[in-house]
Amino acid sequence: MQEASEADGIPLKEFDAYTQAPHRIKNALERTFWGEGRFASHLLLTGPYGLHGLLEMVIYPFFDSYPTTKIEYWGLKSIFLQFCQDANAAFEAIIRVSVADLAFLPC
Amino acid sequence: MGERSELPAMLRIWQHLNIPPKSRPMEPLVSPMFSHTDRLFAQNGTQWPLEDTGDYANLQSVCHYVAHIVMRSKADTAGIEWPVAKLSEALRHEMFPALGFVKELEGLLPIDPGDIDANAIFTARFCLGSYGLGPVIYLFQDLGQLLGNAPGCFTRAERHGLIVMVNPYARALRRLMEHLRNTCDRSYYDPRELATLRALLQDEGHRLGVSP
Repeated sequence: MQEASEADGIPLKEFDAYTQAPHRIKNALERTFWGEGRFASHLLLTGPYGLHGLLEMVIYPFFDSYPTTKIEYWGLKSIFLQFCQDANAAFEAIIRVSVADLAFLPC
Repeated sequence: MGERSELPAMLRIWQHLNIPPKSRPMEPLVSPMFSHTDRLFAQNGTQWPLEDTGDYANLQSVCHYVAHIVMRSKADTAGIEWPVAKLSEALRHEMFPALGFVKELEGLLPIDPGDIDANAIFTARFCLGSYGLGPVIYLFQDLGQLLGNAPGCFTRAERHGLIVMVNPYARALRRLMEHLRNTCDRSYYDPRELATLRALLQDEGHRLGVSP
């Protein structure tokens, strides 16, 4: 897997749920998507180094195949679900703003 | 097939379910208190019922009973472990009769997408969550752990006998689960948070920038 710096978006390597402790995954998510102490909408990006990559390469494989007998499963599941919930809220805020902007367009 | 290679089949079916965050894995007994997760799943589809009816009417109590015997079969339980014969008897006389419908459903596979009747039967009778097959999956995981991690509890022949007894049902569950996963979008069975994010990305992803 190509290694990416923080400036390149999500450093996917750091999100390997199989080798990283849950708290490190949580820190990596916060470092990537949080700014000024809260989830930052402008950091929500698509593409392989954005949300698509995070879902396809990290979160879906976790829910599909991570051994539930490992004690870390529960912490990681909670972290990923919380992340998705935060991302959904930020995403919906972006949509609301976009729709509101449309109202000011000249007919 | 050897015993060692058969065990993972019992454990892997477990991974196809999204498990409620409480009670596992510290709680060895199957807990029926997973209503929060059921409510989440119930918004997705009808295969996560909110009450146990039909094939599932008696399944929770059977699972609870057998899970208790599994727990008492462990050598590290305080007191004297129960004999393997009791566990075999409970599986044979209580558990497997209650799971007969699982083998019937497996008999439908592979289901042609155009076979409306078979698809309707599968959708109506293959139910997940705590009022569906959730307790069975928990029980099989407990049993799998017991057989895999507590070799002192059984002789080799007893262990093999239990695996041979349980695996046909575990395989049937796994095949049914794979059918579900192969025939619908994952947002149908993913937790609501994941499903929502997936839908937002599909429908509104163009509003976001692209990561370089």
